[in-house]
Amino acid sequence: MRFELKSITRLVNAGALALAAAVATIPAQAVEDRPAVDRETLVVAVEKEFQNLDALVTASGDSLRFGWQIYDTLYGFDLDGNLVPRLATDLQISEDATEFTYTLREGVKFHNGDVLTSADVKASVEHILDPASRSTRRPYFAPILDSVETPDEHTVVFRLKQPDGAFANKIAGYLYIVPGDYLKSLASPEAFAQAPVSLGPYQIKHFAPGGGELVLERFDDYWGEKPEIKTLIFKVIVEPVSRVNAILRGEVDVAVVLPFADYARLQKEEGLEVIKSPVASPLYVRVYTTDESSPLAKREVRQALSHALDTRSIVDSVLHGVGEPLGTFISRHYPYGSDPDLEPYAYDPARARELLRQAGYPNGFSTTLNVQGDMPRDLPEAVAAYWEQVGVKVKINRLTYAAFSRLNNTHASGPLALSQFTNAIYDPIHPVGGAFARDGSWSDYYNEQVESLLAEVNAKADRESRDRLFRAIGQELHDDAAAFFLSEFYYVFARKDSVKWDVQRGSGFLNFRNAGWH
Amino acid sequence: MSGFVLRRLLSATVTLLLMSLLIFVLVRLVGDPAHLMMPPEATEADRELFRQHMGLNDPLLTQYGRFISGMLQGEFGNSFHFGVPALQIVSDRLLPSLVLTFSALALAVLVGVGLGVIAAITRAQSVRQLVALFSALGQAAPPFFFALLFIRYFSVELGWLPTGGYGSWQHLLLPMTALGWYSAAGLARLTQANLEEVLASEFIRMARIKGLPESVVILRHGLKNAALPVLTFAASQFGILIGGAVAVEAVFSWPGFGSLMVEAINQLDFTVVQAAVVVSTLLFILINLAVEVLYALIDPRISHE
Amino acid sequence: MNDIVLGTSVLPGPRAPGRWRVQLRHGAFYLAVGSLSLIIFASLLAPWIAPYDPTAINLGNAMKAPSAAYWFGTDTLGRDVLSRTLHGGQLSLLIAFIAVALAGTIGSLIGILSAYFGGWIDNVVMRVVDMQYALPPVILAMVLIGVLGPSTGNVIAVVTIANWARFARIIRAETLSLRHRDFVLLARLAGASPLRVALTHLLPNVRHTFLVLLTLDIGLIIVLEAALSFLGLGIQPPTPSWGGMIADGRSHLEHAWWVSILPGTVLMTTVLSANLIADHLRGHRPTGGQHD
Repeated sequence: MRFELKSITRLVNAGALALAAAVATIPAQAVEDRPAVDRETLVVAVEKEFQNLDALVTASGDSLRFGWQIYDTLYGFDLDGNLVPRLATDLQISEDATEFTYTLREGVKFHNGDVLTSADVKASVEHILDPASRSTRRPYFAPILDSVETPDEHTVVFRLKQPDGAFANKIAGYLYIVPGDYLKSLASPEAFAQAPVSLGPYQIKHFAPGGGELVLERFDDYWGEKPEIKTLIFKVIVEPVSRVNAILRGEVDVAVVLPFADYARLQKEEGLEVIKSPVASPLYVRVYTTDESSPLAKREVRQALSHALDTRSIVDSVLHGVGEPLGTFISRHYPYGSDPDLEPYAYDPARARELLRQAGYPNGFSTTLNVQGDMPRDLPEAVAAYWEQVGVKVKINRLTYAAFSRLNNTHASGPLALSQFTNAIYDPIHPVGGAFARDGSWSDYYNEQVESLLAEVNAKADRESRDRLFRAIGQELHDDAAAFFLSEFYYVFARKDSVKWDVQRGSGFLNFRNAGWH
Repeated sequence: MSGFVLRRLLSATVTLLLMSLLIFVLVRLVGDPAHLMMPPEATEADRELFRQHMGLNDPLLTQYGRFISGMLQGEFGNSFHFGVPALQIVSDRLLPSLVLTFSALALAVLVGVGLGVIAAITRAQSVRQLVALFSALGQAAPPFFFALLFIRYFSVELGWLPTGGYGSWQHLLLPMTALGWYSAAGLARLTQANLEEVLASEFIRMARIKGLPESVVILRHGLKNAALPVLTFAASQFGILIGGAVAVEAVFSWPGFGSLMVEAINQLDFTVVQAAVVVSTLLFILINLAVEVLYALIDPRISHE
Repeated sequence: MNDIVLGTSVLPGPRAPGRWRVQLRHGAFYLAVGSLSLIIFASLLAPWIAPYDPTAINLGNAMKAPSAAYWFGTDTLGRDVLSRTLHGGQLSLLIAFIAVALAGTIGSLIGILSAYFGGWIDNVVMRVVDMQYALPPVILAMVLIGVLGPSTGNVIAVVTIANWARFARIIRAETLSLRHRDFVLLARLAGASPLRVALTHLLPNVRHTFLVLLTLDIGLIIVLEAALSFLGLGIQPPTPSWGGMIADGRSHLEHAWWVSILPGTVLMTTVLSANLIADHLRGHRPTGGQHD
């Protein structure tokens, strides 16, 4: 077999380049601004499969997509993250923050017709605590919950083993209410995931095997304001480029978690509204400061490395402008607890080198930065490049998410780990406690002042105290350069112009209760 | 014949068992799912509880015994993440992969063999060059590269076809082409080579001397001899397409088998990984067996080793 | 990842051991050799001829179109795409050559020995080969890299393990078929020992197939490594690799096409040239040979 291919190679190359040129020069069509299905339906493209529809068991990362559509909690969060009554009409907190009493609303119906009583709340808690459920929420409740009492059908009293000022937030963020009788009727706790029943504004109509699609239908006996959209279709499109393409082609009405790189050009698309919304979850480099042998144990070294980073440039280029430099660990977008005037360290490489010299490292030093696969690709390299400028050599160690989780959980991801800590309960205690308390699960940091402030804030349930105390914590974390704060983390959403939808601010929760068509 | 099949089935079983052992060990080496399944706030005690409930603390031999006895009954345990039987998840994702694979193969065979035949019998140099260009292009570029270009051009720019997903023939067209082009290219060259060789052989000259019409010569004698390697090739492609089309499945959001395996490994969902690998090995073995039987039937001169 | 399993009929038929004839008429062959050589030499000399440091970040210079200063443009971090393509080529080609040599040598050796000894050894070896075929390379890569961590050495290991079986199976088939050839039988009849037959008659004929497989495999391995890097399982950033660069630019195809397309084209040209050379090497066959 012989090919007479004198010009084949040339043709192939010419062909590829021509294709590329054609691809680059033909202008894109504007987005068709009409419903993908009809005006009673909203099609939303999400970025990850749905794993387990039991919101009491599955991880936050999974449930934050469907949780607020199908389920409801005793108190919930409004669009800005303030606690508002939902299934409960009243909440009384004891002075010492160990007793939380909720009064339930009357006449609330579950999807299966059952009526809400305090027994259902107790059953929901038991579902979380039952080891056979394998619930990921168990660690939030088991250590502190002493008992759940139901003195009458409309009263629930939570008694805690120790004060927890953020408990009301945990109830609002984690305790979805499910019918107790239905739970009891199931063969095993796992069976709930196959046919979940709750009392949110939507019920499940169809769940594709493998979690690739979730179709929800409006629940007409919902106790609260019924949503405008009758059918909510979640389509899973994992590949970011494909998700962008889907909204550009009008195949979906809303697309979530779009790549930062596409933000600028999507803004120019007619027919599309692009929203960047902060999720109150900082992108930061976690530092193992408790290792005395490491240069990073010294405050001056950490301050030096903070001065060496030009976070404004990093946000503008690597994050394509989708982000905000931040001065401390507590995001500005919490409803309370952050000081909006706290500035990050100024970009000052000269000062950085000076501080390093003072700390005893005139020639810098070498270190390792652990990164997991989900992070923006170029971010660690940009950080390493800035530190290299002041003499600190960084080896970037890329790990799979599984490996990274394990190392983080077992405190083996030092000395530096690029991390992000999501907000699930609209109170800074969750990330701050986890990342900077002495016994925080992702903490290798110890600061006496922070520790005592944390002890104080745990005992206070009122908003003003928590605000004051967290501001103080934030200031100390900044002054001590406890970690390297790179940017606020944002989500990029896109919706067709005629879609009415207010994004939930300051968290990753998807909230479609207010969605509709103009 | 039956002895041949029996012997092959026996080796197939051995392969399957070896594979199950391999994946059982490998997947446990990759990591500990407790760290993934539990939130960061969990203590080691919480994770221990989880491991206990998943049966991961039992001695390895016990776990393997459970796995094998379950496998023989078609029971692979529940997925760690989804909570439903692992086999169910695997079979749900198998259908889209089979659809994609068979379509890509069908395209490859029709287009590849067709072009190969044309190129072998034509006298027009330009036709041969065009076929050569088609093959060269198809084999030089990775399928995921084509996939990206196709979507960009045919979906987003021209709007002719959807950008991804699964549901209608329109969803199938682009991924099928991106995958199938590579196989079609190989098949075209293979067919052309074999057919040319056969057509030039003594055997064919005899047929022509006998006075048989050209079309009969080509179709009956030529193609029949060229068919066997094509069959082998198609079979080999099948196994690879099922598990190997991961990048294409990812780009097109095709809910297929390859991406299921990747996700399951990423999430350390042991039961699903085990089930997926066992099922795909089984399929692969069955297809190979079918091909070998066909091979032997078509050409009894093949000596069985 | 796709694969070509060659039926033995496409392989060169047996010839008396001896010299090759390079046909001088084929311009395409020379063009392919020329392109491949150019790419190989350019990649080898990358550290000296690359105009910029492939890892030097310049955030203000990101995503600039090809120009006189940057022949291939710049990528998302402002790095020169041409320099990265050259360095990436060095690494991708290095991996490909090493992996092909390893897979080819190990695989062929196993194939020859398996055919030579036959019996239960042959059976076991063939079962292991079956297993390797049934295990998708991506899964193998994920598991190996999950266990051992990402590194260039591990990428070579993965690619080698994913490819040795092809050599084993085909070389074994070749060896087996040659056993029944006339000239082999004649040699046996003339009293040559099995080992002598193996060395003087089987090996040289197998050598040609081996070479063809090598050149074909280079293309396949380059594409496999690119796919692994594309999925994030291969060469880790910031080290440049062709697959990684295609992945880097895949969300920017509309406004910064050069980031993906140019390295992709170089990859295509390399694979294409390797395939053309393989075609040419395979082009010699005595007429009248039938498939086995």
